[in-house]
Amino acid sequence: MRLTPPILWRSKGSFYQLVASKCEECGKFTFPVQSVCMHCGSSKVIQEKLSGRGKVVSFTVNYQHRTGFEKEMPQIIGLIELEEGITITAPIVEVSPDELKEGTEVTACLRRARADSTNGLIQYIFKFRPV
Amino acid sequence: MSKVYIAGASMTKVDRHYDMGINELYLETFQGLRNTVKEWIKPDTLIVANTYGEAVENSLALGEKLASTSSLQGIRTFRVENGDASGGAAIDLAFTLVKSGVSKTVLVSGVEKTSDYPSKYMTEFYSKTLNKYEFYSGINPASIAALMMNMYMKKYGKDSSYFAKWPIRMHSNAVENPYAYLKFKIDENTYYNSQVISSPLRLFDSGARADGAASVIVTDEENARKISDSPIEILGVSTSSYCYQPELTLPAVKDSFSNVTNKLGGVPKIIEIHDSYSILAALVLESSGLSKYGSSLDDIPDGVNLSGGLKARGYPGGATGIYQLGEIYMQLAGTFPGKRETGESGAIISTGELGSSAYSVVLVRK
Repeated sequence: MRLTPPILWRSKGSFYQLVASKCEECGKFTFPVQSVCMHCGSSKVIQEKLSGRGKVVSFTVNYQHRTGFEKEMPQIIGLIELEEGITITAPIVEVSPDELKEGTEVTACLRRARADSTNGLIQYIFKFRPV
Repeated sequence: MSKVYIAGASMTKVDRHYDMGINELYLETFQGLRNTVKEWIKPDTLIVANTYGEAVENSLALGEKLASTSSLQGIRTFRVENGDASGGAAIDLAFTLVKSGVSKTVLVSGVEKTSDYPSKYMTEFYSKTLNKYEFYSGINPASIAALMMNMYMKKYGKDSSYFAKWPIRMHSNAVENPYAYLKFKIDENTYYNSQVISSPLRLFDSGARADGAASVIVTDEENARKISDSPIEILGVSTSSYCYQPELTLPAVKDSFSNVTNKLGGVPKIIEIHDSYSILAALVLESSGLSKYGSSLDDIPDGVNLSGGLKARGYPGGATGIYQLGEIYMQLAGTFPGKRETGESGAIISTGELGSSAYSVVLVRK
């Protein structure tokens, strides 16, 4: 896996701050952030930092690992409905699968994702943990 | 506008072909075509459907490379990549080129190698179809399929035994298909004894990724009669694409299949669909209107995935759509060497791994 600083820097809003696009025409959110509304095509979009608070709609315990994520296994992946009404798919941490339930309230937290074994660059990303 | 025909098809057995690379797999189907057609006409276009060439063989520009490999010098070449819907996209391009008169004869070849590397390496590549946040946070497509499965079970009150019906049927169909990867029957015990990939999704809910190549000749009416005594017409191709949403309908499948079957005035009984996971099979069947919402796997239509589908024929990535097209061509021409159904028309639904892009194709025997 090769991580490069420009990709991570360009994505800092989505990866580190949970910033989404909010359409001023239809009012809907698009995540990850982009300059055109995915729902209505309007370019009248603003960037808005989401609250990071939401609840678990559904979750899965994943055992199929990808390069660089071996230490994360097993990994809980949740479908999370945020307070703003947007639903995203994201890792859930600091909880065991037995404790987690649908409807559990969660909040975003910045955590390590993986490291580039070649140049030592560490990538962080927001995940979710129970409140 | 010319009518468009398929005048020949050839495919390799889907398998772990450690002794063959992309070139060799492609050439096997190329030679297979040359050996079966009535008259060989040099195609003016080669379209290669391939998704993971640079990942597994460090190879780009497969269009020109495979054209040179097969001594098709001086022709128009493309490599088409649209995730695992690459096969459907290549068919769409071939159809459009012949229909418009730009090309007379197009060789469409799907070729994929996925067996040379450990699965964690390949899963990394399969995950690149996800959005940027999902990819960089370590999510894979199987987990998203598992979330869809959970939502489906909750909405329709099903348990995992409902999903076991799909691989049981697919493996039963594949037993008769000499091109199939997993030619053995399974039962519910096999399903429940298979490992959990991403709960509740199991190994036997997943299409069996492996290597393979398939080639078809797409041509106009004049050349079709020279190449084959029994060409099959491609009545239409319809395409649709949406951003993935965590919902239990696939709007791309719904749009594209209804568009193309409207041209036929009915729904064919012989169909190959993209069952990357059991849940995706259910969603494709329901979104296309082939089955009712919430009960598709209780009563799987007889003519669906006679090949064994991605689950048991195997899942050669971007080549999958070309296998599907070759299988339906052979069904209608009466030459498919596996389980057969009789019919005057057939269809394929080629999609990406999670169904966000769909290419629906209807073929008719005339």
